[in-house]
Amino acid sequence: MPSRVAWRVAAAGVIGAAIRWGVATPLDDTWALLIVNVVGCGIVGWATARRERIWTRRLTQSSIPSSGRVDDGPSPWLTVGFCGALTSMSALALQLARHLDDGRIATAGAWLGLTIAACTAAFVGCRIAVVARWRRS
Amino acid sequence: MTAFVVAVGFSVAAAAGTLVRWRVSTALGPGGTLIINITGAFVLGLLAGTSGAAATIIGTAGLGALTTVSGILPESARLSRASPLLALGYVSLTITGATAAATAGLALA
Repeated sequence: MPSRVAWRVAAAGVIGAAIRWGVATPLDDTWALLIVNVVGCGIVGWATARRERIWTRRLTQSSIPSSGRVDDGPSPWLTVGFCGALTSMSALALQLARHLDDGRIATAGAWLGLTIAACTAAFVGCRIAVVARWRRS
Repeated sequence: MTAFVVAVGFSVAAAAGTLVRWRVSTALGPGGTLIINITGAFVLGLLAGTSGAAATIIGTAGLGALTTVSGILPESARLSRASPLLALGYVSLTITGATAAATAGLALA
């Protein structure tokens, strides 16, 4: 019998995949994939930074967790389940492969560069936003 | 195929893809995610010619949920603490490996 955590991860994965499918319907596949990949990376950046903030606060209050671990990571249902299924490497790889197959090397390079830049910016930007808010409070 | 059957198939495939990725990446770390992403891209390339409910259930739900972009960023951030070059290599290998695998799948389809 799967654990309660596994059920949550699976359910969040279904919701993430359904949203990716739903976004792709009204939009062009390429733009839809870019949007969901960027949003997913941003949420993961926010969630990981927020989790680190919680652990740091606990440690500074001398409330060391009984497990002794401080790197437990954020809730898996949100990061692994929802964001993992919302974003898709296989769909991105297939888009790039089709461009290359048709000889559109510059287009493939542009989409790859745009995806990497936007996803990294979303991930790092959301982490910085959490840390900046943390320092102000 | 009715919309209900597609919805059920979509949910089962997305849940299965998510759980397999979770288990493999937990057991094997970034290497597991790398294998998952490359394998998923290859199979999606193989299935690129299919359409309709099968493409939605297997491709969009199953393989889409199995592979991930957001998962590689925290993993590469963790690797960069050990070595920035290792993190760069991991991201590069994921993207080039997955694209090459999808190309191979397209060619074999």
